[in-house]
Amino acid sequence: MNARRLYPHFFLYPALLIYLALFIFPTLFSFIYSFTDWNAYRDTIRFTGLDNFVKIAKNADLMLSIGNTVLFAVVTSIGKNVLGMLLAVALCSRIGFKRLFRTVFFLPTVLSFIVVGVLFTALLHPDGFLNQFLGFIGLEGLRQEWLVDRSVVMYTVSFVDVWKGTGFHMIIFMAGLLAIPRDYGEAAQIDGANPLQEFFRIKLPLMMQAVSVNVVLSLIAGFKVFEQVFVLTNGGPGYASSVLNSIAFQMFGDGRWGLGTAMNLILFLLITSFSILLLTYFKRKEVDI
Amino acid sequence: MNFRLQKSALALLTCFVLLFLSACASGNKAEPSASGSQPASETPSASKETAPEKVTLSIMVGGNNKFYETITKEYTNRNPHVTFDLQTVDGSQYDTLLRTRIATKNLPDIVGHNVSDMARRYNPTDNFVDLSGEPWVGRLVNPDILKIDDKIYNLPFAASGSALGIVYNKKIFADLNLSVPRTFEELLQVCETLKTNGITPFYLGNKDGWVAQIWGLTTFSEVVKNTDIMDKINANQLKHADVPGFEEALGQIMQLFEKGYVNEDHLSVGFDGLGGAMNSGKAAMTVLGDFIDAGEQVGDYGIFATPGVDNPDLTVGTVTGWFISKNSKNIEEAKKFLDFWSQPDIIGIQYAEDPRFSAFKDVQVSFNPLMQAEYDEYISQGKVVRQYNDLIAVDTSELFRLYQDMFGKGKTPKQVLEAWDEKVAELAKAAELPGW
Repeated sequence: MNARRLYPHFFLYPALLIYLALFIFPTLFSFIYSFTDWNAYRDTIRFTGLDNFVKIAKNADLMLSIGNTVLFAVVTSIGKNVLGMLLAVALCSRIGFKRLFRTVFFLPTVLSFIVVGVLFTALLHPDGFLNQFLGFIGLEGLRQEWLVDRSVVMYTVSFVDVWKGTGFHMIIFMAGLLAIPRDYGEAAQIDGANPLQEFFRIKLPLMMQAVSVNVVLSLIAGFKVFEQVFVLTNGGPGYASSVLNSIAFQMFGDGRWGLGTAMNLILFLLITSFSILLLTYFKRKEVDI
Repeated sequence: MNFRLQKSALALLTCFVLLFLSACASGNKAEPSASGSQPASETPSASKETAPEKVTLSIMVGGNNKFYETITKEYTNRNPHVTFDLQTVDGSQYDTLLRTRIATKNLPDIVGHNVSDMARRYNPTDNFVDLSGEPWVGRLVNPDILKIDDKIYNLPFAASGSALGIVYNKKIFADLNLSVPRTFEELLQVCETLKTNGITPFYLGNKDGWVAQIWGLTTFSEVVKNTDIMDKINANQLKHADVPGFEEALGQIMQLFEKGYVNEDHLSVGFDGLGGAMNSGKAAMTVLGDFIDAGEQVGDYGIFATPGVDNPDLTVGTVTGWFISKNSKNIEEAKKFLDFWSQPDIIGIQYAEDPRFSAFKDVQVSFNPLMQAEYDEYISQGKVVRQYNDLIAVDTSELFRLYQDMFGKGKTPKQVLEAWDEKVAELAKAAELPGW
């Protein structure tokens, strides 16, 4: 009896140990380091209180990177989820070539971001395909320096991420849609509900779990943005498209480790607070089938 | 229930202690192998006095020139007991790695780096071996450029560093009867002539920060020449933003943008794209250095000093070379290897691949026309100036990014200088430099 109840623990602890040693402890240590002036130029580490955070708050470039991170997370979450939902609804309806479309839309998710980055850097170059195409169809006015102009670069990076990520969210939405028993829809139709009413009153509430998973996952992924920015712009021009992680990466590279961990702590707080808020919100909206 | 909980907690704790102990143990073991030496105890047969002990020399160097491998292999051919662990590191990662390895006292036996950086940032007295007494020191062409507190810590690859300035297409200049501009006004006139003839005056590659900085670097070097500006800045007695020459210099390059003298896609092009674009003949000048990657057509180009001030001198960089780590267990063998590298037939292999001004009196290098002209017009005349990056006490990579921000219209020259002053203060305080 005793051995049997202990049995599952043998499977738990090895993983837990690795998790503790490689994730929890380093994370906790990094929280401590974010209150120090730890850097590559000196052997001693001193506690400096909130100095790092004051520095960040006072520096326009660093604040811009925090703003960019939030902007990216919000824009990509909305983009991926709205488009993903539309595609899921379309692909669960009666249209032809469903399998082909599913594969096509899911394909970008499988690509590595390095490949996507190289591809889009070429497409979005000032003399690249996109601008030439816009010129060709007579829309010269819409031509932009997509990855260089300060006012558009963050949206360009967000767009590329939406392009890549939508397929993944589409699949989760499709799973949610397909899990709803058909009788609900049929009953509604008999009662005279139009397709919009059927979607908003019946399908959406019933697939709230899928929505909550999708929104939380896309927001977390959005806050953690790094490789998208790294391969497309490396945070540039200047700091125009820098995000928390790209700045933290630079700080570590420059040997300003204390400041880098402080940026990471801010990121951690952002992610945790947004996730908790959203999860409690969605928990209330979820309905059991 | 309680007992079981305690037991599992105990098990957990034990595992933890074991894990930590094993981690520490393996850390200790890893140290000698990381520094590249083979413990003598592993090869008892080598203890016979005749057979030399087997040695692995670890070398860390930025970039990936072929001659590193060619020359180390040649050394192994002649000295079979020595093998090499050659770690060539990507340029952008190199500084980070070197900084970390110095901080963790985990340096390889031999490190390739530049003198000015070593002197200002890495405390050579503590970290590297004094090489002033080595046999090759007497043959050096320009020993002064290597001296740190009157001592020599490295075997240089060249007598001076790369020259930076404006690289121009001599054919285009000749076709349009243009002469090399010696003032900023003359440069503007040259640009205007080029533009009216349908040639883009400047093709810039500002996507790479280190390329984007070259205008600022070369003009700043001129501004501070023969002044005490840098001493004051390094001692926290003067700010960049308060030096009118700096703001003026940055204003000049912004003028080139405003007048339409620069390629539109300058922030999308990096160093890799410059050689090809210049070779295509669509532009007449670029802000770069004598290392332009123009392949066979390198003879088409000349270099002149950036005319931020009137009649400027050419900015030259610092010298790169081999340093030997003080913690190395193979200092003697490393010294032998450096002496080997300095021999004419060996360093000749390096110069054949990468022509530079020869570091040694008894070694002749055949230059490409670009470098020959640079030598005749500037170097041999003593018309050279030390680069700003070698004079400022802190790392300048953040400044590169500020320049890019300025080129992308995110900051004015004044704002760049103010932001840079802030960064300098932060870095100087972190390093506890005197006066900060």
